[in-house]
Amino acid sequence: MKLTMHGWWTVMHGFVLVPLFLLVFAGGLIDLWTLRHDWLTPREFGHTLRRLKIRVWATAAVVWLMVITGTYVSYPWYRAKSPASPRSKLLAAHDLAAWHTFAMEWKEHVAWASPILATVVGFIVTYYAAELAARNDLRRAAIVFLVLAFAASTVGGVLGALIYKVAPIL
Amino acid sequence: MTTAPLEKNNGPALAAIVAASLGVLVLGLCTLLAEVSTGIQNALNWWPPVGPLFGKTGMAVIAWLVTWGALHLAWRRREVSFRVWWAVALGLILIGFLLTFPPIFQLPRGH
Repeated sequence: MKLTMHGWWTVMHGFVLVPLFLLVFAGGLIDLWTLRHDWLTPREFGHTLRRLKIRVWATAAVVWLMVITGTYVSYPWYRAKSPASPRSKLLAAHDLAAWHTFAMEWKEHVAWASPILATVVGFIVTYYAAELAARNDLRRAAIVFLVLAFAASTVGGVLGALIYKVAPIL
Repeated sequence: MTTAPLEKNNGPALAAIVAASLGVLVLGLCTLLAEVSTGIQNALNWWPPVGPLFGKTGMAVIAWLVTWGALHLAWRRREVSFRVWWAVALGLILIGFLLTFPPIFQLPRGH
């Protein structure tokens, strides 16, 4: 099977960036959770903090790339006026219209909350660094923001994959 | 076991948190307002291939960054109430998320 340029972008957006996001998000969450002086030796603490900074910024960078490629590269193809575009096909079939009116319309909006929230986590981790371990309120707030960023991305990712199954961008 | 002394105020963190929450709220509000008014929908259509989504997300990002800058300047040397501002932030995010949920923002469409 040959992939078109549209197909390659879809692969980049959905099948390369999403697994990368899951990887760095999971690592960042674990590091943020365990960043406590009473759980780690000073040596382990230093390693965890360095890894945490890399992982939370990588999470923010990947999720920015996901929404930018999704919105400015794939989405114009999806919503093109041509009758062959996925949006036109979905809206033309009564039993498929909800894939656009519910799934796509939720995904395209809520996913944009994710990079905003993830960037804030990167800032908090970098700004407070080792002090974050002693500030449980801010560390927990960062964990909540990271999980909310993940939730928003998950809605976007899962619905995107399902929509692609019903009406792929060719 | 060593513990780093607390040298930094919580103001910068809460400035970032509240600003991001406001960004999410603006995203939700723009999503709803684009359904309410065709004029707003057209005004948010900054680049036709993407449609009003460009304006909605653009407004959210601008609101987030401008608020972040302003709050950071105001709170950078202050210790602010975590409990109050964290509750405000979660409330704004909840409303923002709800306003991006189609059954809610599509209410003005009347179906």
